[in-house]
Amino acid sequence: MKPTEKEFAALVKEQKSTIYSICYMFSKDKDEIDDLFQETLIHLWQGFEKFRNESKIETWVYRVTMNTCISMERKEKRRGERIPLAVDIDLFDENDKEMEQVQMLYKRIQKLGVFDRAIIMLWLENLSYDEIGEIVGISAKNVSVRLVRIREQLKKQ
Amino acid sequence: MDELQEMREQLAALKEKLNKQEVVNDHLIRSLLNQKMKVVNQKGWISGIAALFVITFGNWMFHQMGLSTCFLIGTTIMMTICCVATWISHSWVKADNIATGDLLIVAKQVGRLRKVYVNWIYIAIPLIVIWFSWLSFEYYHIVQDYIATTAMLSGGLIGGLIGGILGFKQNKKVVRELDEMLRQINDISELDIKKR
Repeated sequence: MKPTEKEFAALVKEQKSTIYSICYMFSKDKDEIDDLFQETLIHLWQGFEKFRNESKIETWVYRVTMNTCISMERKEKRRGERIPLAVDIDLFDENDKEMEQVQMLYKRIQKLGVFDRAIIMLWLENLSYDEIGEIVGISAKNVSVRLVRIREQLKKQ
Repeated sequence: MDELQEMREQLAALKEKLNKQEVVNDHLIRSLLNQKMKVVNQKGWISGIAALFVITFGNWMFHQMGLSTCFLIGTTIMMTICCVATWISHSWVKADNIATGDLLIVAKQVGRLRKVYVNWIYIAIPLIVIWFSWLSFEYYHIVQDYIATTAMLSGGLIGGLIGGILGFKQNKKVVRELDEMLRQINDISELDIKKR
């Protein structure tokens, strides 16, 4: 493999749980997660060689993943030709104690709008308000206001 | 407990679960192979459209210039062969095979396509030289003017050279993409052998 491909494979290995969990929160079933995950990897690959370290690589990964998930949600269109990815758990079907927690999180996040879903996912990833703002394109102050509203909305649920 | 804090813990549980999972490289590489093939096919489409443009607009222009029907037929045959050869050679590599099929078959198909692109240069250059000489000969017979012929041919030569360089670059790029695909297939095969 070329060095870039090796680096990309390492990046995917390192970030796969983050990417996959974001894709999960924007999907309705396992096929959709696979679609989103694959689409995100393709977008990451396309941008990887051009990535110039102007921001942290994690921030860039979040941005690409979020943009892919949001634009796919808007288009509601999936690629015709899909290659199933080998993640052997079905986050919608498995039933153990851990999964109950995960599914609870899923239900909570699904009740939010797409934009709020993106913000809360980034906050849950421990990103600062500035970083969240940079990724979703709003100011840090706006992020904090949005988070207060999201918190209120979650309490009502 | 605060909802958001609870959600953080739930996300941590999710990530822990996902971290235990292996995203198999095979699928990732197949996906990248598919992307590469799309780029190669796009280039095939562009050259096909360029050939169709020469058949229609080019022949109309040559007709206006008063060139012989024989020359027009010759040009049409040459460009049609280019179009058909491009279409046939690109149809060898099937997207379905890349997605789920036997990669050894894909490697064979990609290798065949690569051979066509490598050999294309050796066929295209003599063909273009013959065609251009024919064009010069025909044009000189129409205008019977050495200066006018030289002027027209100089323009044609400069345009042809620019087009030729661009075409040559595209050809090299496609060969590079196909080499890359073959290398990636090799990587997957090695991965499979190691797994066994």
